[in-house]
Amino acid sequence: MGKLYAVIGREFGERVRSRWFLLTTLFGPLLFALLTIGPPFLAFRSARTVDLSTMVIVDASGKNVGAGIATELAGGLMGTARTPQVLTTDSAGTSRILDSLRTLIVTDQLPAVTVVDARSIATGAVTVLLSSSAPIATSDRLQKALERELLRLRVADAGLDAESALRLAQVRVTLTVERMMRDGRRGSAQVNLLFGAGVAILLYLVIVLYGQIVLRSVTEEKQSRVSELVLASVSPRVLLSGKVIGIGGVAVVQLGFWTASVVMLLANRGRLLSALGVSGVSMPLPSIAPVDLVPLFAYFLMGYVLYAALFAAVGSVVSSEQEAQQAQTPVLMLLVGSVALLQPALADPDGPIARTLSWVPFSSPIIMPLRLGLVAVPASQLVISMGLLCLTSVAAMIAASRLYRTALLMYGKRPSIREIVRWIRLDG
Amino acid sequence: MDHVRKAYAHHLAVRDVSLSVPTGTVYGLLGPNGAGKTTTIRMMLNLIAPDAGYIEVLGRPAGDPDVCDRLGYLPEERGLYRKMEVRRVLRFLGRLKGLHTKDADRRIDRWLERMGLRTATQDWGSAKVEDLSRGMQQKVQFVGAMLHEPELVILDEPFSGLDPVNAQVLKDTVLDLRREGRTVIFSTHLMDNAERMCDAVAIIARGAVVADGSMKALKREFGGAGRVSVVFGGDGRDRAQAVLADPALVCRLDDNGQHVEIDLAPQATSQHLLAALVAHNVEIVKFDRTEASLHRIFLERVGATGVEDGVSGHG
Repeated sequence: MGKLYAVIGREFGERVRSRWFLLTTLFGPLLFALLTIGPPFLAFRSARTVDLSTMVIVDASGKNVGAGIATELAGGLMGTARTPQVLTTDSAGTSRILDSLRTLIVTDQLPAVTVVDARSIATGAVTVLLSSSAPIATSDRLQKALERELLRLRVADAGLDAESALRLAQVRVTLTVERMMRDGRRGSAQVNLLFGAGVAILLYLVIVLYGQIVLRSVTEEKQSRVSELVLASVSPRVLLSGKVIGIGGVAVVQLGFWTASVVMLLANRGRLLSALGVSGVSMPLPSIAPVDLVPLFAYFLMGYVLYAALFAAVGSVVSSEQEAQQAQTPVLMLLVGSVALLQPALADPDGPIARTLSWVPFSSPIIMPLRLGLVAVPASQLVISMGLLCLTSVAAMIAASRLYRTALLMYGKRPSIREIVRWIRLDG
Repeated sequence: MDHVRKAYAHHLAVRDVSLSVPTGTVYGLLGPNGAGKTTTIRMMLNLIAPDAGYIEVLGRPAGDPDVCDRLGYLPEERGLYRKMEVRRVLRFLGRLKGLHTKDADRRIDRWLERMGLRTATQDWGSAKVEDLSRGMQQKVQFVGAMLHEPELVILDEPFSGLDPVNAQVLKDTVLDLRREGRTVIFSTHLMDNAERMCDAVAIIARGAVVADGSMKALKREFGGAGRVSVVFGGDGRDRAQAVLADPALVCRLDDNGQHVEIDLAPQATSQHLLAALVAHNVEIVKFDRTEASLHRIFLERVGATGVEDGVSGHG
């Protein structure tokens, strides 16, 4: 065991000490923070620059609608005492006033001009002229103000109590969809969908990333001829196991840090935005109990071991990194194929495609975690899927270490498939 | 090793090798490039499995885990982790041989000093491997093979790529190992080194042992009737022509003008040769009886190429 620890220690220690590890570990959460906090912050920042209290309202309604709208928009977002300027006119004077205002709008000296007339009260049709720099959010806010004012006017015309009618008219439907599962779990369908897809893609990325690191590590050892020195002291099985475990340890540390950072960021998103002066809300987290993470972690580990063994096998039969790039294509195709089938699996997570893919060992590390996030997977399916994946991973490790013994000391011409099969069949 | 054989897909690397290395000696594996030396060594270390035959190392079957930690190995294909610090590489290699970190660190410092890689002004142990010269890297690899104080040290072409100063350091260390009672096997095609350092050798050609035994026994067996070195004076070389052409006296001649090396015919002695030269009134400046060099024995036993068709390219 001492030799295995030595190999694990080297593979883990050398990578964790590298600048690359530090950068990628910190870069992940930083990128996520930028993606979750950046957009609302930037949107808020840009929204603050538009102040509708500086707009002009051309009122040709004959019922003084403009003054009501001006009151609605008074102060704007900057909280000043300013109200939009209202130019009252008749239908004949409208075009004349607009002609004089058009130049100011085009040259961005005026953010917007709203034109209300008698037709607006009857049909709700209002014309707004926006300057080119005013964001689209401006028209949303203006529309709400117009709706409220026109409604107030219609209610008053009908002889009703304006305040009560307005209160009654303010119905806002907030749709909360909760998916009820057989195992008693419940949670937001959207959040669970995002979580399932997110976990599947994250596992794919981590398996590809760390599988490639295993591939590079084996190729480098073979290319630098250091493998012969090491194999004189440890068996190929110990060397391969130590390499896979050591690099896997780096993956677990990094993945753990990323997961913890993401959960903390999501949970505190609202607080962070508030600290930046933006009113935001914390994102709802999926209804996943810590115990639900155990199978996800198991799938990640077994999937990583399976693909790491395959990548290591590829690395042992090639003689250079360029060759490795070509030779790894079949292994990458297995992974990419699983991700390509995410869409049908997402559309029907309990359908035949998703069920089959969650049993096939090469796709189950990606598809089964997705299904676990979306539906209640029967225990029997979980056991069969995990069992198959576990057996395949062990078989891949044994085959790769047998290949290792012969292939690592072979240089020059890449071996044929027949030779590779013969080497694997040679007992260690 | 007992009738060991190893074939690859398109060639026979080792046809039939049987040899026994006495404990506590320096043993040379000699042979031309591609003769099967490296394959033989790799089989001793269980890096590759023989197709036939039996190998025993330190009294145990090759590949026995107990034996592994009692062996030190310097491969022909030199390689280290280039991005790692020298001391960390050596610590790793030591741990692979069962050393504890503290023990390894102590020995690393001692060996680095011994190999001139750690002085009062410079400690190469803290440098990255890639910052070292090729010769320095080779010495680091040698230290890696020695850290655990192995009973048997196997060095594959240890002198290739070393400058004369570093080669001498390595030779001295090998002789120190013999003094300490350790067994050293090294492969080489440099006959001078083998002749000076080895107690016994095996000459491998075409994947088979063509001569082996102690240096004395080899010279006795393959050295021929005798060897004489003669330096002529004046017109001595011309006068000696008839004697040198006599097959009853001379078996083989290395003619360097005034200086000739003569292998005597089986029934001839140096006395017969000297008498014949004096009888022909040949002026002799120097007449020296020598024994056959390992180089000559090697050339005779190996023949023109000594390489099996389609060999791997390793020694």
